[in-house]
Amino acid sequence: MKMQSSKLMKWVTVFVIFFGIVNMLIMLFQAEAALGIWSEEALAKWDETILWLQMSILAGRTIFGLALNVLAMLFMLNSIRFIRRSEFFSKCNEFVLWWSVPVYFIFSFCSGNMDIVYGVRYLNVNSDTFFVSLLLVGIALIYSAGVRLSEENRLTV
Amino acid sequence: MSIIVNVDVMLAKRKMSSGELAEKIGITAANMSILKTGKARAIRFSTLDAICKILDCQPGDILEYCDEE
Repeated sequence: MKMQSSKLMKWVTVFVIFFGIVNMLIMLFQAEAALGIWSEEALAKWDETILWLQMSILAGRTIFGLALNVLAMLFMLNSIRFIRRSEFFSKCNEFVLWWSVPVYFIFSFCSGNMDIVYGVRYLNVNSDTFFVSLLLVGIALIYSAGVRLSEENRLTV
Repeated sequence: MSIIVNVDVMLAKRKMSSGELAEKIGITAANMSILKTGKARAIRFSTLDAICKILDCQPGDILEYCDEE
């Protein structure tokens, strides 16, 4: 792989890790603010009738948001690790990409409905949630094809 | 895969080891093993050319088609 592309990839990985960690911290602070664990007042407006939904959305956004950031960091780190071995498509990253589909879907759904935690009483279904999830499925399918071709190439003498 | 690679026969005739052949062709021992054990999915013409040159044989001497049915 060209030196410049390799360097660019390393910098992108550094940024992904940096912003991933920042993003994760922001999500944790937002969850803490909503729950009021260390703050004086909880920002969430709990409603007994939909408490289960509010808790699920808050938990879903936090947990799946953290997971999505971890998957992104893992993808970039794996890419650098395998490119050093001249492997551009790896089974590890195929696994990461496929897992990112449901994780993103749930995170996006919960993110789009965070207002429920703050007192709004309607569910919002955003078309972006489905569109980006389908796009991720497409990318995962193409990556899987790349993994198969890469395996064939490895068995070409 | 129905194509069988009979490199061993030619190696025995030329009294050469597979490691030696791999070195002369310019492929790794791992790739040589993939070729000998029938795990190879494809072979480059350049590799086949090098094998035939080193072993002084025809492609038909080392490649055999066997109908699996």
